[in-house]
Amino acid sequence: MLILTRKTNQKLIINDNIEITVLEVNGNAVKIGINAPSDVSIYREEIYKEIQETNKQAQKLDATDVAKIAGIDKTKTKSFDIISKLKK
Amino acid sequence: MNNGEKILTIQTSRFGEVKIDECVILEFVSPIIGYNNHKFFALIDYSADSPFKWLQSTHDPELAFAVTLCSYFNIDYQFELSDENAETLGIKDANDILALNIVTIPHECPQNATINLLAPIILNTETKQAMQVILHDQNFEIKHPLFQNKDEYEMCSIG
Repeated sequence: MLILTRKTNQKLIINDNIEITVLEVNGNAVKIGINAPSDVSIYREEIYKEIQETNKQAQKLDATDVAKIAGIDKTKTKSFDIISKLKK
Repeated sequence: MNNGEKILTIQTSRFGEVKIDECVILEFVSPIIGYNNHKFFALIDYSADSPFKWLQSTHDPELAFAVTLCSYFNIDYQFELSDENAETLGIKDANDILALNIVTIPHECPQNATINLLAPIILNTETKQAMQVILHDQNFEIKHPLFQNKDEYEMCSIG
C-alpha cells in the first residue's frame, strides 16, 4: 500500500482525472472531497460491503419463496406493468 | 406482434428455458454491487399478476434477483438522483427513469421479507441502461421490512 502524508487542503491526483482533497481533520475523523469522472464509482466501504452481502442473499432467493408472497397487492392496483414500459 | 423485435432464448435455473424480447434486456453500465462481471440482465415476469419481477442474468442461469416497485407496497420513496448518476445512465427525460428495488426473502420465512431502499436499481427505460445506485445520505434502509406486522403479512400471503 502506498502511504502519503497530506495536510488540510492538500490534494492527491490519481490517473490525471481523479482529485482527492483533505478538507478537514477533526480528531479521528477526516473529511475528504473527491472529484472524479461520473463513471468512477465511489462508496463508503462498510456500506458497499453491506449492500454486497444483501445482494448475495437476495440472489439465493428461490422462486417458491417469492410465490408465497406473490398474492400481495396492498394498493389494489392491478398489474405491475414495467415490462410493457420497456417495450414502448 | 413484436414489431420485428428479436426474440431470444435464455437458460434459467428457476424457470427453465425462457423466451424473451430483446427489448427487456438491460445493460448495467455500472454493476450490481458484487456482480461486476454480469453486465446484461433481462427483466422477466414471474407471473403477470405478481408484484415481483425477476432480473435474470442472460449469461448465468443461476443469477437472478427478485425486484419490485415501492409504490406497489405503499412505501413512501422519494429521492434525488445525482447528476452524475443521471449522466452515467444517459437520462434525457425524467419520465424515462424507473427505480426497482431488490427484495430479500429469508427461506421459509416470507413474513420477514425485506426490500433494499438504500441501493435501488435505476434504469433508463428509453436506452435500457441500468445501474445499482447507492443513495448516500438519504437515510434509507438496506433491509426495510416489506410487512409492517404479522397481520399485514397474513392478509397478503397466499397459501
